[in-house]
Order: sequence, then C-alpha cells, then structure tokens
Amino acid sequence: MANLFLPVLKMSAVGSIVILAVILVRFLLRGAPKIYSYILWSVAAFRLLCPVAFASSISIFNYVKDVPSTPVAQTATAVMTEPKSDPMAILSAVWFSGIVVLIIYSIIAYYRLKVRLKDAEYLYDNIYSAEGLPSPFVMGFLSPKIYIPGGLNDEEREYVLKHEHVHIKRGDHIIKLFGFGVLALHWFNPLCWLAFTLMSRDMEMSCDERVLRDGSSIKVYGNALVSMATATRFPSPGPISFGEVGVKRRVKNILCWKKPAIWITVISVILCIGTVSVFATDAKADPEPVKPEENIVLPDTSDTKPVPETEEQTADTIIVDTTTVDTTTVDTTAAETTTADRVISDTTHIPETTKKETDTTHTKNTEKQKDTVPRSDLFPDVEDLMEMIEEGYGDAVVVETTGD
Amino acid sequence: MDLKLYEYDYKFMSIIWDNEPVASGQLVKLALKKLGWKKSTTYSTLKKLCERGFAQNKDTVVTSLVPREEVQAYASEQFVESTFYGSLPGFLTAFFDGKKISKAEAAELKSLIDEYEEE
Repeated sequence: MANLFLPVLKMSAVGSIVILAVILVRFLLRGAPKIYSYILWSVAAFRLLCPVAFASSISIFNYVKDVPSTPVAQTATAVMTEPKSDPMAILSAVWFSGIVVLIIYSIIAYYRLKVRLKDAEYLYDNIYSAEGLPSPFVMGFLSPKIYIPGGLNDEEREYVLKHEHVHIKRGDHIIKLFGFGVLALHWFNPLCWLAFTLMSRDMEMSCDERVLRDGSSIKVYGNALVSMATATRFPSPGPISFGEVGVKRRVKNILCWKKPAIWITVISVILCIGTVSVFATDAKADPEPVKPEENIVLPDTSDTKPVPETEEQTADTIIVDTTTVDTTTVDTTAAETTTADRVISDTTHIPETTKKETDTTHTKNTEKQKDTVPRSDLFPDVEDLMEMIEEGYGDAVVVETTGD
Repeated sequence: MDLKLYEYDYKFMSIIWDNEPVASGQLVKLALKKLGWKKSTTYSTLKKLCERGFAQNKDTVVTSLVPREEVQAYASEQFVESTFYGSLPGFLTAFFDGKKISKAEAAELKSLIDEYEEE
C-alpha cells in the first residue's frame, strides 16, 4: 500500500503547485471564453496522474527544487524511503480507506439514482422526464441519457436540452467522471477539491457559451435559467455540493459573454501553451546524472594521483608513486632525486602510514566527488581496498581485508 | 401538510397542473393516454389526493390545491436527501447545482438581464 501512496503523495505535491498556477492563469483569463480555463485543468489532471513528464529547460521545476519532480530527487527518495516504517503504513491505510469510502458512496448514489429514475417517462431520442428532480442532468457514460424534471416550459426545455447536448458532444460527462476519479485518488488534498469545483464551473460556463455561440439568445437563455432556479418558498441553504455551479454566476457570465476578439483568442492560446510548457514538464536532468550503482562498483577515477599529494605532506617519508606499476618493486632511481631522509623501497613497511595517508587522500577524494556528484559512494572502505589491491600494497591489504 | 408524492401520484398531479381546471371525465381520458390507467385507477388516485389536500374535485371539475413549485421544491430536497445523502454526487453532470434562488435574487437577476442590450 505504501508503495502506491508514496507516488501519489509526490504527485499531489507537484499537482498542488500546478493547481495554484492554473488558478493564477485562470484569473488572467477571466475576460476570455471559459473554454480556455476549462482546458487548462487538464494540465493539473496530468500532473496528478503521471509521475513523469518530458524534461524541458523551461519547466518551472528547474526552479522549484524541493518538489519531487526532478530526476535527482526521484532517485534519492526511491533509495532512501523505507516503505515499511510504521507512520507511512498507517497513512497509506488511511489514504486507501478514504478512496474506498468515496467509491462506495458513489456506487450507492449511482444505483439509488437509477432506482429512482426507473419510472421516468420516455420522451424521445435519449431524453426522459422524471418528477421532482432538483436539476436536469446527464446520466450514463457509453449511451448517455438526459433527464429533465417535469413542469418545464418550452423555452426552459429547449435551452436545457441544448446545453446538455453540448455536454454530451464534448464528452463532458466522461471528463467529469474522470476528474472525480482523480479527486478520489487525491482526496486528502484540499487544493484538489478546489480544482474540481473550479473545473466544474468552467465546464458549465463554457457549455453555456457554446450554446450561445451556436445562436441562442442571451436574454432568453438567461431568463430560462433564472426561472428554472427560482423557488417559491424560502430556499433552504443546502449542503455544499462539490462540482455544481450556482445560477447567479452562470447568469452573470453569459451577460458578460461576447464573441471573442481575435487578440483575446491569441493571448488565451499563448497563455495555455505557456502553462503547458512550464507546468506539464519536468526539470532537465543534471549534466552528470547520478546513478548510485556507479559509485559503488567503479573504482575512483576522479583523483588521478593520490600518492603525490602525500609526498607533499610528509617530509619524513616518501612514498613513491606506484600507481602505474603492478608489482611491489620500487623504482629507486626516482627516489634518488629527492631530498628526503628516508626512501622507502620496500612497501611492506608502509601499512600504517599508508593507511593514514590514503585515508586523508580518500577523504579528499570523496570531497571531490561530492563537488561534482551529489551522492557519495556507500562503501568507501571497499573502494579504498580495491585501490590498494590494484596498486599493489600486498600484505597491508591482506591485513586490512581480514579485519573488515 | 406532508408534501411527499410518490412517482405515479406525482405524474398524475402533473396532468392536473398542466390541464387545470379539468373535467374529471377529461382527466380520465388524459390519464389513460399518458399513463395507461384504467378509469377506476384514476378515480381512486384522485380521491386519495383530494383527501391529502393536493387537489379538489368540485362539481366534477378538478383543480389543484398546492402549487407545483412547492411540491417540486420539496421533492427535489427529498430527492437529494434520500438518493444522495444530501448533495448531488460530484461525478454527475447536472445543469445547475439544484440550489434554488429566492424570488428577490431572481428579480435582481431578471433586471440585470433586462438591462442587457443584445447585439
């Protein structure tokens, strides 16, 4: 379970940033047709469902480093996470239960609705009429049916049907279900609930706009909407319904709507493409990509001469550079050119000092490694030993390995 | 008064609302056509609804006693309550959220619409 929860958690973090961005862009687009805002939500949905995306140098995640959408962070968390730790297991269980609850509720609601509608009157095409429905709606996904309440006048009925037909043609009823599925996965994230509500609003309002664009009168449509929604008694406050749109907002929106000028369309399209490019992409990988296995397996090749450094440090002893020599013989001619007091020809006497010095050189090595590569190798001692084996330190190595 | 109507009673009331004031004989014909009901079924349902206060049958003319909107509002509430535990489910594509607006708000919106100048 934790194996599923963790990626979802990461995607939720990434998705939250994208949702905030979409909300901002949506605000910029408030004077434009709602279809663009509606389309932008797909970016959020994508990030909430897909753990990886194309890398791009203009991705926002090049600049937002603490969010797990970069290759380094992904490998790091992959290696360092312990899914079996208790708090994670509990959280995963809670998360999964939440999804189950939402799904069960939906299934029950769906079947209750079906039962309630079984006596609906068939009108024509795929349109049915049932009494006491709070609102017309579309039901079913493969062969969607439109249900309208009884008592609508001709105008109301005409516009309702036009509206619902646009929904069906655009596949909105499937998109909404899909959105609800994404929401179920991220139910713990309040931003996702907000996103779903706003997405639904954009869906409905863009649908109204489409009806108007196809030639309906704004006034007549507006009046139909108002008359359908008016209560004769005091309306009860009602619970919050996520995903439905209030009449007031709809009416005000259609009153503001006009066939968009070209420049509005152009700007909107640019903003959409921009948002996709910046938020639907991942950060470009580091120039030297990190793979943990490389550090463990390969010998250290970043530092070419460990020995000459120690030559500088120790005046008393000189260790002749034997990195290029496989044997334990020492070239004594090289030693003659130095002014040291003692020349070590037999490397078997080296062990302790060697160990110390190679340790310091080793720390230098790892420091160097850290500069160029964020992850240090996990088994320094083994590498150290392997170096020594290769460079031929003979007995010293034997002693050390058995002590390990 | 209990405003709850079961589906078929509701449909019958619909016929009355759509056609009132309607002669009871005519009502029988309409019920046959729209619902496929026999004469006896129509009369027994009519009697029941009159007893409950939804309609009245005076000198064989039938009229409603409760306005349609009231019953509708009640029924919608009931619908959401009983079917969905209180709110429309998120996966449903509904025309609007089903929350009715008050007459005052409706008037306000209507005047906004009237002010609007259509191109």
